[in-house]
Amino acid sequence: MNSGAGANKRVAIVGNPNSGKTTLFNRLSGLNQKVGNYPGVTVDKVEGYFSHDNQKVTLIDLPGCYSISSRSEDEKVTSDFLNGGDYDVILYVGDSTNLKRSLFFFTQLYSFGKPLVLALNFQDEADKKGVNIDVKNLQRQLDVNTVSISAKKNSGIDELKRSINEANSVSKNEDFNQLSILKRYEALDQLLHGSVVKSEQDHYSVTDKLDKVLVHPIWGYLFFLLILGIIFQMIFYVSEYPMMAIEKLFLIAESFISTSLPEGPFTSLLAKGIIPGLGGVLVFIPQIALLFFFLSLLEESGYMARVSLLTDKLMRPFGLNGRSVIPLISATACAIPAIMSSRTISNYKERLLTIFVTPLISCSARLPVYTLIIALVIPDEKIFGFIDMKGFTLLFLYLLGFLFALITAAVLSRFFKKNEQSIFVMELPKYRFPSFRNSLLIILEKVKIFVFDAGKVILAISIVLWVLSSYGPNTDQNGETIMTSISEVENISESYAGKIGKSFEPIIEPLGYNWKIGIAIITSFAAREVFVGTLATIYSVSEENTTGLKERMMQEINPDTGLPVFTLATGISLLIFYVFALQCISTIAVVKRETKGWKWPIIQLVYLSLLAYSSAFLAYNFLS
Amino acid sequence: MLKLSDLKDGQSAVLLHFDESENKNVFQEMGIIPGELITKLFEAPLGDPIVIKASDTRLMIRKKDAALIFVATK
Repeated sequence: MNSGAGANKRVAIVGNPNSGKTTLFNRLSGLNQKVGNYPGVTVDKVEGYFSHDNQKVTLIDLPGCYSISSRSEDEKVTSDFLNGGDYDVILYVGDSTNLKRSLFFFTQLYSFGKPLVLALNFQDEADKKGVNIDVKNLQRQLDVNTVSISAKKNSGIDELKRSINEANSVSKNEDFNQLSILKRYEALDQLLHGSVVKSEQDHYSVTDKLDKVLVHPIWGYLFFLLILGIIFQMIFYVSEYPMMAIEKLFLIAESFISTSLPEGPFTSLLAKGIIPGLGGVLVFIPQIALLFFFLSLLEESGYMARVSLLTDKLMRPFGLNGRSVIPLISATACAIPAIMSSRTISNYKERLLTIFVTPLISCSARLPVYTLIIALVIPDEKIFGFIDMKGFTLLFLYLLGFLFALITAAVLSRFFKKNEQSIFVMELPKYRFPSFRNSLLIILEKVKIFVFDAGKVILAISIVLWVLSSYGPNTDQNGETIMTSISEVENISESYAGKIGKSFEPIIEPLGYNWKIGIAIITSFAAREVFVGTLATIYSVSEENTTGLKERMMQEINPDTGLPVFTLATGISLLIFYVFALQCISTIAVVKRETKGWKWPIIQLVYLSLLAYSSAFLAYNFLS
Repeated sequence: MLKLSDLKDGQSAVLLHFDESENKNVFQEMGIIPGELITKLFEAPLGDPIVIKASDTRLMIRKKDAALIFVATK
């Protein structure tokens, strides 16, 4: 055993959900954290480090459980890790305000034959509520180093570090060997009898009062709508300012590089490929940071469990969890943070289902596409004399996406949930004041995950897309095909993307599109709003000049029929295509990252492409 | 026989036994154990799930699951 001074000690942190386990982990390791993978599962492996008295300690934060028998994927990670034995000490986080329930799981840990350390969290709350724990007595009876702490208030942390360092002998307790659940509770009851003095005060008096309002049939939903409204405002409007600043910064970098470096393919790759690609990754950080800031506050305050209580019955018919509501609402701004936030759904299948349907919610990147096409084909008329046709169409597109998200979830859940044990019991934790320090550490972790994991894929694909749209095949003096930079071949339609778009024409013709739209569909894989920019390039008008673009597109005549290209049928078909199609490499990269593999993003891409193609086909043929 | 799902808001009862053995452990490990006094606190605004008080915690549980738990009022 590597327990000598200086050697690295590995400590597994275990505890019930809501025991403050992650707050303690963040308290102990601070900024020294690293996120990795467990083989074959979607749960993140979060490790942290600290040093105390020359002893280096590695902490492994395991998913919260109520017992060693695993049911969900998260719980399986914990039991597999404990069975695997790749650690020196188990640190158990107990709840001082409810020792009996929270020590049940603890008593199962003796069987792993490792030194145990018991941290009794929420000491401050227990003190206030008149719960008196005789720690010395408890420590003797349990044969375990026991420390009373408050992870949030930073009390008892040094003593806990010392206890972890000193935990070298295997903890034993014959009383808890091979007991049935009820016998285990009985043994625990007897043991606690001499160590814990409880007052008759109810710990939940404040919580019960708050719940009278927060899950009230009217006030409860109003408050929930208010929370959703704030989140929506934050990621839709507030995040716009830092996002614009990031975009601006990268534009400056781009022009600085193009003007200061000698012209050539390398400068072009750097200025037009890598820099915008990096910008395209970093631009998501404000939304991710803001969303996770709010989610961590909701989670830690205990409100998230109330969201499940309020919406469980509504979401159940669609196979979704109450917690799916927040990702789905966030997706109206952007699917990237939304998909990452589905992590708060503890049931793996419900999480997967939420991730799968999230891209169907119309995000803000679709808005420029919708606006342009609607302006182009929807007449300026009023339905029944007062409903604006254009506004109505926009509303219809949002509703269409939302409707299909629900339908898809309902159908898919039938396949997913066949053999699942469907019991649903969840703790409604006490309301607690969240800690900002903890929220900031969570933001940092999520941003790191996005930039270093999903970011790699996004950057790689955007460089490929850049090559495709800025280089094209050309013939040199010897008649051989060479790759030429697009500035020399003048027109995007001569680029590889252009060629692909043109060869695409027979496939997209049944939808009412020509090759110009084909090119724009291909380039907009980078991000949907690129559709508008590409069309502007093709019609050689500046991107800012949308009325100019609109007029050029209106004048476009189909050479075969002599009729305008952008008819109502083509326009509606294109709008519906963009409602459904997974036209976003960042979404694909994030789904890959969150499901830990290419299987689900590929299934999702195929499904959404088929859905987009067939509905656009139906719409076009119905209208023309 | 009285089930947990039959209790009125604010009504307390002693847990007797569970209907199905497979789910029994899930309940028990979360502190819903025979002999324990359980209080139904209130229902979610849409009528389901229900919120109960058991071994000094608050738990929410769907009505169909609560129907697997048999109780006796004092």
